[in-house]
Amino acid sequence: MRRELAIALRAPVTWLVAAVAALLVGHGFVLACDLFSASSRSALASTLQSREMDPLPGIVRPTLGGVGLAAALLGPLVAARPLSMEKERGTYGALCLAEGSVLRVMANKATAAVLAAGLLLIPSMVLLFAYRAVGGHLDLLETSVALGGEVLRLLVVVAAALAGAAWTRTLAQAATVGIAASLTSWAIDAAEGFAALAWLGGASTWSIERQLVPFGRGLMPVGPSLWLLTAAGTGFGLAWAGGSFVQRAEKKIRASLGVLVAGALVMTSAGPVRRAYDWTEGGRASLPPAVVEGLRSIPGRIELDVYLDREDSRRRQAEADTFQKLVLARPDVTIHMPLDRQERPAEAERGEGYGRIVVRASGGVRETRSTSRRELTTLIFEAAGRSLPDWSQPSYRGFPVVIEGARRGFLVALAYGAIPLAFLLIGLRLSQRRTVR
Amino acid sequence: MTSPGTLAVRSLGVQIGARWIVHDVSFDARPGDITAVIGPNGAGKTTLFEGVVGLRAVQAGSISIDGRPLRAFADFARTFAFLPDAGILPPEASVHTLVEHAISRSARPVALKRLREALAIDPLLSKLAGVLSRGEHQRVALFSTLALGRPVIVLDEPFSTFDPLQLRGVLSIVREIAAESTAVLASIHQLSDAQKVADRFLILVDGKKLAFGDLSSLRSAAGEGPVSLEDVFVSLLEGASRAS
Repeated sequence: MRRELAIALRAPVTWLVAAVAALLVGHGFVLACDLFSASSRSALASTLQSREMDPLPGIVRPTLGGVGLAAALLGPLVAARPLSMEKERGTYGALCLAEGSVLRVMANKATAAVLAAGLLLIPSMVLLFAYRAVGGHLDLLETSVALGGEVLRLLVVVAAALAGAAWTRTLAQAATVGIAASLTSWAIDAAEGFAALAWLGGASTWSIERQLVPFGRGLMPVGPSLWLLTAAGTGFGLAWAGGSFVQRAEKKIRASLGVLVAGALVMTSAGPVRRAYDWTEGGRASLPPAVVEGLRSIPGRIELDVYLDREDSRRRQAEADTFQKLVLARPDVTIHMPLDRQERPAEAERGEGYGRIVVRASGGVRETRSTSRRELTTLIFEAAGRSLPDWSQPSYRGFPVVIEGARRGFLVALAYGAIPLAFLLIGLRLSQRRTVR
Repeated sequence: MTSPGTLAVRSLGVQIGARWIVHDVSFDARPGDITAVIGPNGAGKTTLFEGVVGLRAVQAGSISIDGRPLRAFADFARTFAFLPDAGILPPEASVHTLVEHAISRSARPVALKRLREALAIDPLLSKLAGVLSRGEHQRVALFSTLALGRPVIVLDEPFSTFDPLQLRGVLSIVREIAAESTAVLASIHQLSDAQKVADRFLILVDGKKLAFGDLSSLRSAAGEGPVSLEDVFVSLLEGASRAS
């Protein structure tokens, strides 16, 4: 393992990439701090507004956005290197013979790649810690969940890069494969906004970004976690198949197809698993605790028919809030969108039925045109013949903070100077003896 | 009847695309013997080695040890240690790390102390592989292969970077390792070196076996005239060229 770690961590390129990634992450962090401070100035004067000052979307998500960018664009270069360089140097086969098993070599290479790629996470952790040190508020658990999502993303990136390295001959080819895998996920996400990519819209469940959304909200989702772990496992499986030595090429192709099909099946099955755990501070992503308990005790299915167009702002708002909270309380709740089957927007027809939300629970049916969280929840209980439980919830007070002057200067110096420089110096220190002859 | 631990290669064929790079090659490598594979550039020596050690798919023939055919990669890994031609040790790793790695993968006791002395490894331990001279690099690579203690050691051009003084020590330790019930198979470009170290010779031309045997049997095959391995090689090569 020391041999593999040396290849990964004594290479100047690893630390150069980490330094560039630190700049990307640092820039996102500083921008987020400035925006959060600007909003906090006015929020500090109003209790109501200060509740909106949530550091999870305000600080943590923008900072981790930089990690995502660095992982997708630079991660493959670092992750593919331990295996690709072995191949470029002509020692891969001899190493596998010495180790006695391709699987063992792959496991060692994967561990080294994960550790090297893990350097990309360090700047975000240091910066978030520094944010707390200068007076900002971050909840440990919800921040860890968001960070956990990035760890899973890195695992997928490493696995894709390793698979690329196993199936190609050079680092350039392997890094290209890894970056292409990341960009494919982005292209799927961009399908909504670009007509040229609209044909990718149906592949939205295969987007890494989409799987990561709950983590960024402080939720620990079972389905996406399983999806991302399986994606990583599939990548590692493909790396093992690609790097193996077999007497017949068909065997290698059959093994790879087997890994791909098995991975795709598990990922397809994991996608619809909606069970998630709310690990946000004060459980603010959930409905009030008594309501959650009450919803879980309603027997039978809960169904909602929502007669709103895909682009309707009311529907978007409900999807981002009410429906998510309902699903969090009752993962088995079924939400139908009958108008999605139509090609033309239904709102333009101004039909009387447009805007209705039909609620079914325990045999009862109710109907409303409101997308209000409380209204819909009340109707669910009414349909089930029950009264709405206590709606009170611990209030989230928000954490506005203005970071300026010396404190801002400290964060800026850390983000743009100290962390990237530290990576460069460590890289220089670890690799300097290579040039001495 | 073959002696225990003998590597038997029978009718081996390796095809790349439509072309047979190695065709119908058969030979034995006995423990205690050094078998030199010699041939002009492009004869298929490296491809033959890669096929024999299981790193390249073979399209014809069989490879067995003690009569047991080698099929799974684990079988090949238990049997062979391989030093590839022009392989580059990871320049980021220290010699100490590489030496420890090789020792930790050793399948059976090897005279490590003697190996370290003969290859002058200890003065290099604190260096990174990236700062080694070519000769030093090859010594470490050779150590990493020989220390694995596998029944068959396959060396692809192992001696080309050594000066005459170093070569003497290296040849001597390879001989000692072979004497410890190890079959050594090595491609050697310098025929004078091959004659010094090897017991038997496999001459390969255009991927085909031209001759196989000890020097006296090759001399007989080449006719009365030639004395040195180089003379034998040239004579056999010319004979083959006339025949074709």
